[in-house]
Amino acid sequence: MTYIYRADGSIQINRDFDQPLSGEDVLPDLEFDLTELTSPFNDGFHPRLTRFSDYSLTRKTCLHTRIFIPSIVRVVGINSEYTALNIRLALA
Amino acid sequence: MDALELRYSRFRLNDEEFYDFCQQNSNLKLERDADGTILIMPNTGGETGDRNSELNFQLRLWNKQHKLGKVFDSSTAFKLPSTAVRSPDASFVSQERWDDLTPDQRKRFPPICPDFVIELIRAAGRSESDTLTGAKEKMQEDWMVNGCRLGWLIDPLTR
Repeated sequence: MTYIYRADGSIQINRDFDQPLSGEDVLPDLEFDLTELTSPFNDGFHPRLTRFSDYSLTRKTCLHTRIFIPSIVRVVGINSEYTALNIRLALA
Repeated sequence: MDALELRYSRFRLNDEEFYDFCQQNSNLKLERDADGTILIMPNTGGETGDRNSELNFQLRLWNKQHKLGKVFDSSTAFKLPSTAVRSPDASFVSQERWDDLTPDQRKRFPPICPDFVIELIRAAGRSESDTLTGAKEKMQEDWMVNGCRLGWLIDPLTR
C-alpha cells in the first residue's frame, strides 16, 4: 500500500503495486516501478505470502527470482503454502 | 518507529554542536526532534536495505536523465524549518533550491526541506499499526508541514 501526500493537503491511498507511481509535477516523467519493492521473493519467502492463498505473480517477478517462464506462456497466478509453491501458467 | 530517545533538559545542542555530535558518533544514525530530543535510529535489516537501495536507484536513474536536482539517500539529514533534523529514506531537492544554499550549508545538514521524500515502512520493529501510525505522523508533521511538495509512504508488505 502506498500513501501519496501532496502539498495541497490531500492524501491518496494506492493499493495497486502493479501500476507505476507518477512523480507528478515535482519529478516530471518519473514512473516509479513498485514491483521491485514488493516482490515476495526479493529476499526469500515473505511471511505475508503465507496469508494469501492466491498471489499474483508477474513475469518480471519470475525473472527476478530466476524462475524461467517461456514466452509462449503467461503467469496467471500462484498458490503458496508454507513449503509448497505452485505457479499457474496459461498460453500467452 | 523504533528509536532510542536521549533527553537532557539542562542543555540543548545548537545546530553546530549537534552536527559535531553526529560526526563524533559517526557509527550511529541520529536524528533530532524539534524539541531537541536526540533520536538514535536503528540500522535497517537486509530486506529494508535492499528496498532502500532500489528507491535510490530508480530516483537517481531518473535524475541522471533529467538533471533537475539532487538525489539523497537515507544517510542524509536535513535541518527542517521546525528545527527538527530528519533523514528520509530517499529524497530529492530541485537544482534551483540546492543552488541557493551556501557551500557550507550543503556540506553540513542542509537547512532545507526536500521537494520530494520517500519513507519506507520497515519490516521489523513494533506492531504493524504502531509502525504505520508513526510513519504517517512523520510524513505529515515533519515533511509536509515543513514544505515538502510530494511524499510517498510505501508499505511494501500490505495490499
